[in-house]
Amino acid sequence: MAEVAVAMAVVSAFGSIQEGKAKKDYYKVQAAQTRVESERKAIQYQFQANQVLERVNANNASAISRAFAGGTQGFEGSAALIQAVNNTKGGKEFAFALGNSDGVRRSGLIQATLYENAGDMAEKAGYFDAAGKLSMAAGQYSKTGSAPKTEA
Amino acid sequence: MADLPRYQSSGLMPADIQRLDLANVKEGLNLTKTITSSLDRMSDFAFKEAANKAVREGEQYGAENQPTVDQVLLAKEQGQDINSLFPKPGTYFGDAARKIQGAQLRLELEAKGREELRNISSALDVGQIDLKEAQLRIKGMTDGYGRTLAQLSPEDGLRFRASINVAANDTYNKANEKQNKIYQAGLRSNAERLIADTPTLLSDSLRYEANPTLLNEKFNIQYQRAFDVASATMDPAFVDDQMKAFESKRLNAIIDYVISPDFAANPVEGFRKITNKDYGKLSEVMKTVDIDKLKKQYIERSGDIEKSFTNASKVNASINVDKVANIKDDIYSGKISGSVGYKRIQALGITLPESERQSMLNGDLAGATPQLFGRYESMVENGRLGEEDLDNMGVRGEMSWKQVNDLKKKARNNDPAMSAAISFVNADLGVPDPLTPGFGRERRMAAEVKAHLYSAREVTRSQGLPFNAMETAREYIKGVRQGSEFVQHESEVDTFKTRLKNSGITYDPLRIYTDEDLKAAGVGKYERGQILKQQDKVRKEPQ
Repeated sequence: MAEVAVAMAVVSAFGSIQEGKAKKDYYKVQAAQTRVESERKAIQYQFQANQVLERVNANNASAISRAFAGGTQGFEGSAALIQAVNNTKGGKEFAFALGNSDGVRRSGLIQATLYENAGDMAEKAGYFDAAGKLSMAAGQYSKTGSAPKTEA
Repeated sequence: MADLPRYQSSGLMPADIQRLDLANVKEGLNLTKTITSSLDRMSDFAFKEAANKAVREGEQYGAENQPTVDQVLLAKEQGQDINSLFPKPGTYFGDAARKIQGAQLRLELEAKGREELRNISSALDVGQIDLKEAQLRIKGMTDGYGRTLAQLSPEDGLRFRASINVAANDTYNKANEKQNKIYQAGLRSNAERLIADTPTLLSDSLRYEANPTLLNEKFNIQYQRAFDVASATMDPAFVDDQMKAFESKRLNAIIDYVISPDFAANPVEGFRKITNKDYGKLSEVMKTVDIDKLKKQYIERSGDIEKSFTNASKVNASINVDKVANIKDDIYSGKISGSVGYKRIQALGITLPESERQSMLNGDLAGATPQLFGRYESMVENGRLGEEDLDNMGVRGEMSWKQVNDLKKKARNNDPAMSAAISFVNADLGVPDPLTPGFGRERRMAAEVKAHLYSAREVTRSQGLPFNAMETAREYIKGVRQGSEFVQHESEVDTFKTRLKNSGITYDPLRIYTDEDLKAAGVGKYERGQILKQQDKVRKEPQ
C-alpha cells in the first residue's frame, strides 16, 4: 500500500512539473501574440505619419501652382509663407504619429517580456510544488515502519 | 489673390497604449505561495514528528518515574502542590507523562480505595462504625483521592470517582441495610415493650377508673398507641402479631380483673357474672370484646394457674432439699447441734436414712481417707456417682455423712457437659489419679482452670446465654499453656527427658528415680547428679 502511495505522489509531482511547463508555453504564445499586435499597431501609426506628409506636400503644391497662376512667384512671398506654415504644422503631426508608433511598439515589447518572465516563474513553481510533494512522500514513507527483522 | 490652401490638422490622438498585464507578478506570487505552502507542509510534518517523539519519551518517562501513592498523599498532607512530583504540564512530553502517571495513580488509588471500602465493610460487620461514619469515611476517601487525582488529571479524577462510587455503592447499601435493621429492631423493641406494658397499664385503668365510658376510652387509647408504634415498623405481619398479642393481653387484663375481688367475691362468681353479662364498669369495654374468646382464654388461664401451683410445689420441694443440705452443713460445721438440725429437717417434711439420723444425733463416722474421698469426688464430677449411690455409701459407712452431704451437693449440681470438660482439663494438664502422690503443680493448674470454668458457667447462666463447657475449658487451658510458668515447666521436663534418654532410660511421668535406680541402670556419677537435680526441678511442688 505504501508503494502505491509513493507512486501516486511521484505522479502528482510529475503533474505539477507538467503544469508549470504548460503555463510557460502559454505565456510564450501570449508574448509572441503581444509582439505581433504591437508591431501591427506601430505600422498603423507609421502609415498615418506618411499620410500627414502626403497632405503637406499636396497643400504646398497647390499653393505654388495657384501663386504662379495668379502671376506671383510660387516660391516667394505669401506662397512661401503658406508653405512654411504647412510644413511646420504637418511636421508636428508627422512626429506625433511616429511617436505613437514607437510607444505602441515599446509597450508590446514590455508586455511580451512580462509574459516570458511569468512563464519562467510558473515553470519554477511547478518544480517547487513537485519537490515539496516528493519530500513529504519520502517523509511519510519513512514513518511507515515494519516489524523488526529477526536473525535466522 | 485667391486664398492659398493651408494644411488642416488631421486630429491625431495619442496612441491607446493598453494596460500592462502583470502576469509575472501574479506568477511570482503563485511561486512564493507554492514554496511557502511546501515549506509549511514540511515544517508541520517535522513538528508533528518532534511532538510524537516527545509524547513517546514522555510516556516512557511517566511509566519509569511513577511517584507512589504514599508520596502523593504525603505531599498532599504536607500542603505541597502535588504537581511538583510530576512533569510540567502544557508540553507534549509533560502532558504525555502526566497522562500515563495519572492513569497509573488512578489505578493505585482505586486499589487503595477498595481496600478502604473493605475495611469499612469489616468495621460495619463488627459494629465498630455506624451508617453516618461509614458515609463520612467513604465520602472523605472519594473526595480526597478524587481531588488529589484531579490536580494531576481531571479526567482520571472523574474516572476514579465514577469507579469508586460504583464500588462504594455496595458498602453504602450494606451500611444502610444494617442501619435499617437496627432502626427496625428499635421500632420492634419499642412496640414489644409497649405491648409488654399493656397488662400493667390496663389493669391500672381497670383498678382506678370507675366510669365505663372513660375506661373504654383509656382502653382505646392504649390500643391506638400499640397500633401506632407497631405500624411504624411498616411490617404488616409484625403489626398483626403485635395487635394479636395486645388483644390477648387485653383479655388477660380483663380476666385478671374478673377474677379479682374488685369484680366478684371469687373467680367462679366473676365467671358467672361475665356469662350473665353483668359487666359492671366493663360494660363499654365488653362491647369490643369477643366473649367466646374471653371465656376460652379464661379457661386456659385457669389451667395455667393450676400448673404454676404444681410447679411452685416442685420448686418448693427443691428448695427444701437445698435447705436440708444447708442445715446439714450447719450441723457438721458445729453451728447447730444434731438434734436441732434434725428437728428442722423434719419440719421441712424430709425423711432421712436411719444411719444418717443416728449420725446426726449421736455423732458422725470418721469417713473415707482424703485419697479415697478425692477418688469419690472425681467419680462424682465425672457423673459416675449419683445422690442415691452416695446415700448408699453413707449407709454402708464407706463415707461419713458429712462427706456424703458435700458430694451430694456436687452431684446435684452436676451436668454431663461440665463433667466431660473437667475430665478433659485433668487429662490435658496431666493430672493423674487422685491416689497418685505428687503432681501438685498439675493439680493446682487444673484446679485454677476448673475454678474459672465454674465461674464462667455461673456468669453465662446469669446472662441467660448458652454455655459451652468444653470450648471454655479449651480456652482456659490454652491460656495456661501460654503462661510463662507452664512454658518453663515444659522446658524443664524436656531437659529431664533428654538427660534420661541420653543415659538410655525411657521417661516415665509417674516414676520417681532414685540414685540407686540410676546406678543400677549404669548411669555415671556426674550424670546421676544432673538427672536427680533436674528431677527435683521437675517434681518440685509450687510454692
